[in-house]
Amino acid sequence: MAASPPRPPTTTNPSSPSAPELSLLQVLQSPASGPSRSWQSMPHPDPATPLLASASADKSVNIWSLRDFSLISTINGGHKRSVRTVAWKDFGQSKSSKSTKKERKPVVLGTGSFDANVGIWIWNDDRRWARFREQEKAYGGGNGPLQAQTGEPGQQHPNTTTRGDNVGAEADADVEIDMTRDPDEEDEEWHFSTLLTGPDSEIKSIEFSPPHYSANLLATCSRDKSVWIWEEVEPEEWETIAVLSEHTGDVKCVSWCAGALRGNGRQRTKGGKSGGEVFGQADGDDDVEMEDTHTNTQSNGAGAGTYADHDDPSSEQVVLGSRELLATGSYDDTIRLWRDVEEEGDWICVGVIDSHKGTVWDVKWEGHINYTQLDLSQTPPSFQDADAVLAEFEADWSPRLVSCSDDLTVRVWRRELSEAEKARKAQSRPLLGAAPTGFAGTRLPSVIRPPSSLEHWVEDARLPQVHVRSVYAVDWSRRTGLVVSCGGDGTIAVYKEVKVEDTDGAQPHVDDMVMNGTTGTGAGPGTATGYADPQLPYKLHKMKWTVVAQIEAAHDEYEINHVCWAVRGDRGRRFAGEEVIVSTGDEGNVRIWTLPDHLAVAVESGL
Amino acid sequence: MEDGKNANPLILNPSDLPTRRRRASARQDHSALDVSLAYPAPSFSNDPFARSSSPSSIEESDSDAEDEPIDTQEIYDLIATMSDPEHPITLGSLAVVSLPDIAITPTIPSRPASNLQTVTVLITPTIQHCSLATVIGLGVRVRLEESLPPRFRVDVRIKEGTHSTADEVNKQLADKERVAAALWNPTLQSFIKKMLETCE
Repeated sequence: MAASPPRPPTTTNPSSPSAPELSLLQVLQSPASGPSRSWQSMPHPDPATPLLASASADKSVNIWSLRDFSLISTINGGHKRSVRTVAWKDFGQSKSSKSTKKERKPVVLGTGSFDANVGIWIWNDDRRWARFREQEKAYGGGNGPLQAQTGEPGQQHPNTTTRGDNVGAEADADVEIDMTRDPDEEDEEWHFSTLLTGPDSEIKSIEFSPPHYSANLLATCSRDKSVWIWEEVEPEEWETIAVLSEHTGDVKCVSWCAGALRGNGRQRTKGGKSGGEVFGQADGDDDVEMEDTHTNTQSNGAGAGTYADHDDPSSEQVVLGSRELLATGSYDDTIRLWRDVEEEGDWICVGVIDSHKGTVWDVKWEGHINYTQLDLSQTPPSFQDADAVLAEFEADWSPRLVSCSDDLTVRVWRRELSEAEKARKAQSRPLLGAAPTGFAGTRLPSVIRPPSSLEHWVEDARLPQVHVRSVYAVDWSRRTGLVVSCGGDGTIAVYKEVKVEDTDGAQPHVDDMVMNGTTGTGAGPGTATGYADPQLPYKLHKMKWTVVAQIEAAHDEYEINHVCWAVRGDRGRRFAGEEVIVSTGDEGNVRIWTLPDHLAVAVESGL
Repeated sequence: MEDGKNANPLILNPSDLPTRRRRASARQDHSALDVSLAYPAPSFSNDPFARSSSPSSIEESDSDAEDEPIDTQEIYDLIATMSDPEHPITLGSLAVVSLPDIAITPTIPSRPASNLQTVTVLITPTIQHCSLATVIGLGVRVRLEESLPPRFRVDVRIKEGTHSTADEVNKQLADKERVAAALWNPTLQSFIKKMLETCE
């Protein structure tokens, strides 16, 4: 446990000077009177609710609109110390305009504070919220006629802190208002629904489980070295179902595995061509449809669930690689993976990653399938076979993890299947019959085989080193597969995983220790998804990570505590589904960044 | 020397401590500023770890800041006047901080255009098992972060070989989140306030 990681003496970074810069789109000025650190900002997971919540050291949470970047409200009075972390509950993406009659999902925010408590808040202002959604629909790019709503003017909300809004004049026939609510609560724009107490010290990170899990879960972690898992057993009623205490230092981050959408949320084009362009462009924001029904994940290995929109069978969405699995990173320098192995509330640690040489500040799951990795150049020409290859590739796809650390590195981790699992997988390939049988797994004496619930995770790649101070946050775009990181050096870096061209990829990477600062291990030691792995019925390109954009002094001279991707919601967006980068700094402000034109277009077309 | 306390520390003569005669005007500016830097800052109750980006920082209010960049002596002056939490004696007199153990380096050496600088302070606890090493280090870090402009990064570490659990202490002192959270602790707050009482 190196207490003081070597600070600046890293060698020069050859990739940085040439990487194009991010463009500043907007600065969201903290409303605090003086400088007050902001710790984290999170966009609402549903682009139809373009809200951004920011956790502030002054005990408040600011809610911003990602549509016009105005400050919508400030939540005060819930916490006694700094708010460290915020999370939105994900109910799945809302339906497109044709299904407006479907029931409305609440907007639920979780907050974690240095006061050791977690608060759960519900946006209480029905009328305002409804109108907000109407505006979204109107803005949404003509996805249907804007239905002029008429009805009785609503009740006045005299005491909301809402800015610049004529709330009382709002008219909506579409929205039911819960008249049974205590009138006093109507005064609060954000209703404090639940207070979760239990952990002994500061809460560092919280996250709600993805909508397709079998239960509504919330993971929280604290300086007391524990990870708590809570379940919403009744609406707004949370119970502790597990307290996990294997970490030996305070736990910095929690992240639920959510899998990825087949085709990464884009419409599938029949008869995929060569290269990576298997999927065509999305035609709008609302092409992603998910329902609240959940899938049965397989107990070991990647599960897949189908989310069919019954209104529109053609827009079926399939989640691949989703497992009910939690990853946590800690001050003890490790990442741990946790799972309810018997699905009876018996949560155990199923994996440990201990290669980092400093505090693991952040960990995120891969939520994007990199189809460019698939080498279709030598597959038979018929569409049938190409589809079969694609199906095999998707069936094998399993999300990786990305983590960042005080040791200044950003690394990608991959699960390595046991020999027995590989053999099982090989036998279960009915389509191509390409996998040899009689696999070597039997050579391993059964006594040294790990119990099946334990997972072996290995380093897949080390991203080009950009940062010279602690790397505080990392995020992996579910839409484009780009990774973004930030840290104490004030730099934001964007990385992309690309094919290694034949000229420099001909040599297998025998020596995975050599990483010369620009290329990760690509295919590390024993890469199961290796370049020419005879066990696989398809070929994969060798991949490497490269810095594709960055910005120095992104918050002037201040440190950057958090960075993440958000769907761009303002009128200036270049195309539907465009993503922006949201960064949060020590001076308290939030900044919104756009990618350079060529990069934004390239990643959107799946190149 | 029980409980990690040093009842009888070696104390340096104040006249032996490093000082620098400065132009009278500059000196005056500086001492006037020091008053405004006195802990706790007005914003303390809201955010104990706020960086001072306002006119209270030395560099911005010094009209001739460009002529006089912040140097190690200035860093020393900021922290040597703090007192040990267990003795009414300054850290300078106790040689817990010393001029040669302060360094200022570019934070990002590979990018000459960057104006970020890293201040590294190595502290020498009075005894190997000093139970208050973390508190002293925390106080030094807070003092510097409050006083210096935001372009400075502050690294406070235990000087090698001078403390039995140096790695552990160093890791805590380097963790911005733990430092920020610790400053909400009333006991620590009063410790640090006491350490800063001797700063003008």
